[in-house]
Amino acid sequence: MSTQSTTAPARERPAQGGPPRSKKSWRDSDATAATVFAAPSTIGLTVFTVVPIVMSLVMSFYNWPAFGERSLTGTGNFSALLGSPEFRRVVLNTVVFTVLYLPLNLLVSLGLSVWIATMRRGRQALRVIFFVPVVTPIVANVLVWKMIYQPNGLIDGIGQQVGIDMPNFLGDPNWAMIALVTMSVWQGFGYNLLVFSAAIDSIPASLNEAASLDGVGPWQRFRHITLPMISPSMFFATTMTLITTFQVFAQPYLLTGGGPGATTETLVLFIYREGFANFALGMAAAGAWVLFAIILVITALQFLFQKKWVTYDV
Amino acid sequence: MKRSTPRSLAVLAVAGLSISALAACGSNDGSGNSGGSTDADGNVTIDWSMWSGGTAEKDAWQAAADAVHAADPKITVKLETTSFDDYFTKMGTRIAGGSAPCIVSVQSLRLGALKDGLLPLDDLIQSKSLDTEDFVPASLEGLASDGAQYGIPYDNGPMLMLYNVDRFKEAGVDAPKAGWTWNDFTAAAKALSTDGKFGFAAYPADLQMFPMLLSLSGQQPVSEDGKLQLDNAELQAAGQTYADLVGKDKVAPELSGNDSTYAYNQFIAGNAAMVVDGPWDLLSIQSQSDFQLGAVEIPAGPSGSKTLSAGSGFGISKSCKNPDEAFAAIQTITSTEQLSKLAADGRAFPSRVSAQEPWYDNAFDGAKEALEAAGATAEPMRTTSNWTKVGSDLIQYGVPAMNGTSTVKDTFGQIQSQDAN
Repeated sequence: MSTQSTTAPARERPAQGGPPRSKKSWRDSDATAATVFAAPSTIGLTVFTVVPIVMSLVMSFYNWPAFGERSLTGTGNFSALLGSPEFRRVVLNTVVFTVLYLPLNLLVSLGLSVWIATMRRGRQALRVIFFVPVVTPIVANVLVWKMIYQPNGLIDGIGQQVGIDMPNFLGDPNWAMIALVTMSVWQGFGYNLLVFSAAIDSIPASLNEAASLDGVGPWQRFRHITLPMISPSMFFATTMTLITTFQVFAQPYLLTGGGPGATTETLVLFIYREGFANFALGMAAAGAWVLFAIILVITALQFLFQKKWVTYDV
Repeated sequence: MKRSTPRSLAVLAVAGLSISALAACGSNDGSGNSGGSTDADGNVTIDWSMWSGGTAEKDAWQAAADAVHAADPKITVKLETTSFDDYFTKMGTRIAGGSAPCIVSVQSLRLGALKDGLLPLDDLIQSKSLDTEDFVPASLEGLASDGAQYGIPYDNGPMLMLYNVDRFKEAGVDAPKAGWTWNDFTAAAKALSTDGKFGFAAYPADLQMFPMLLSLSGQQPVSEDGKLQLDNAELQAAGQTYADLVGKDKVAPELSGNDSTYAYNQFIAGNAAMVVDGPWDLLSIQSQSDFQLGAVEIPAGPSGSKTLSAGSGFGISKSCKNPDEAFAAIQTITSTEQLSKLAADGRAFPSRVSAQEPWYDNAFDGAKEALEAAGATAEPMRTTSNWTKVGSDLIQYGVPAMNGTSTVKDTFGQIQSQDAN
């Protein structure tokens, strides 16, 4: 804003001789056109994004049942949430899920994309295959994984053949989260794989060739050429994956229902249940804002620390 | 600085829009107008929301909707269906948003969650002289609360023990008979649990678990004054006996995940020889399974066999502007003629005595006797207004308790402390 208002008169100066009015009307008509073109998306943004966001903020300060009287509770919902062991548990579960899922997802996608990049043939085919779980409806994926995990399912069946007693993955509190993370990594790594593959393919071949001629080994090339070159993509993948990981819902909702006990109940599942099973809409809105705050802080931290490891100057 | 004017205008506009949207939301007190329309000639369209498990079921309900139009051409019923699990989530949100359909389908267990959005029907029942005498008393009772009738039932029935007759014969175990006890049940379950198969399929879902607990302890999960009582010691002890069937006695398969159809599927697939279920599923299980189906009352505990009953029906939302026409439509849908058709299709065990014969005609031998015996001792299952949450917590926390990795006392205690209000 401030730079525009100071530079604008400077630009007008050479045209001193001309009529200033025509200049102004040109700018006016530009603004009109801009308004007309921007209107549809502005209205859409307002109606479908801004209003619901403001609305949910307002609701979070109310005791807002589906039926009956609403009453202002101030920060009552927030203090009730932060004081409830149930809510602390679901936040912890979400953090545990993220801490397990994010590194695994990045490791698998990065490892596979580096491996695929070295192949002579079938690169595209492999990328498509690994991307299939991402585009398959998650309900279908979950159905298949249920059959893999359940007692007398695929894993248990193989275990019986070999004579090993397999755990009840979805019914055992010690295994449910691991089962959930494994399924989620399988389902989700394909997206980051594509991002990394594109980044690796765009590294100029001359860099690696020059390094090879100088006698640099594959690990050193990966460490000092590939990693820095794809670090912007890694930053993008880490940030986006982290955000969606904190919002994980479909997998626990469909695979375990948050159980056994509260072992796989995540933040968004909790918010959904508060809102649509318990009809405590104010509490659900407050939970959503807590989630927003957590994501905001973590994303801000990531942007702060990216300077330490992301290389843009190539 | 001049440039900032359009922006502040935009901010103002957004703020104005948000406030008017909030005002529109805030004005909803459940008395808005929705759920149907009336045209210039006085023809009335009534919206009806119902759950359904598939096309065949939807067609059966559509036929009932068409029958309303045939009976009174001035009324058109517009049917929309959702799956059972999604139905109550959707309906709660719609009633809250003031856009409820006129005819709201409701299950007796979920009445507490929806009744604040429903119209008490007592005046309409009287003015339209509905013959309530023909309905099974428990069916009306299930859709009543605090002395007001909120729904007209279409089905209702007691929970029963279904069994696989072929499996009993194969294992050389005597088929259960009326008057059988808990000891008879566990002995049979043990004898049937061989070769990777199980005698029973247990699941911590409300209608599957609590009839057994009631027979064992005489206690329902909700007290007569409507309070959640999962901390009741007798109920907890009975719950542990039930859970031990899986975790300790190993006469029922281990549970995993949150699949509420797990027990039925184990039974239909022939992996479990007995399961607790209601009459509404009976004919569909009969057609899905490839074995001879049997049914008997819930095994008797110390004070005889007891069971719970549940059912569903139709209410009218408070926001409906044509309650008279909506009630007329409900009268047609729950008439003896329509319920007989549903019964003949095996869709529902009718709430009207006069419509039950076609259902019995389709059912296997012994179904009628079992239903009548169970019906004689059945109590309508009481629930709380937050039963949707209690029900899902029971499954979520109940699975490890059933598998034996936690106790029923702790599990019930935790749900009690989370959900009692």
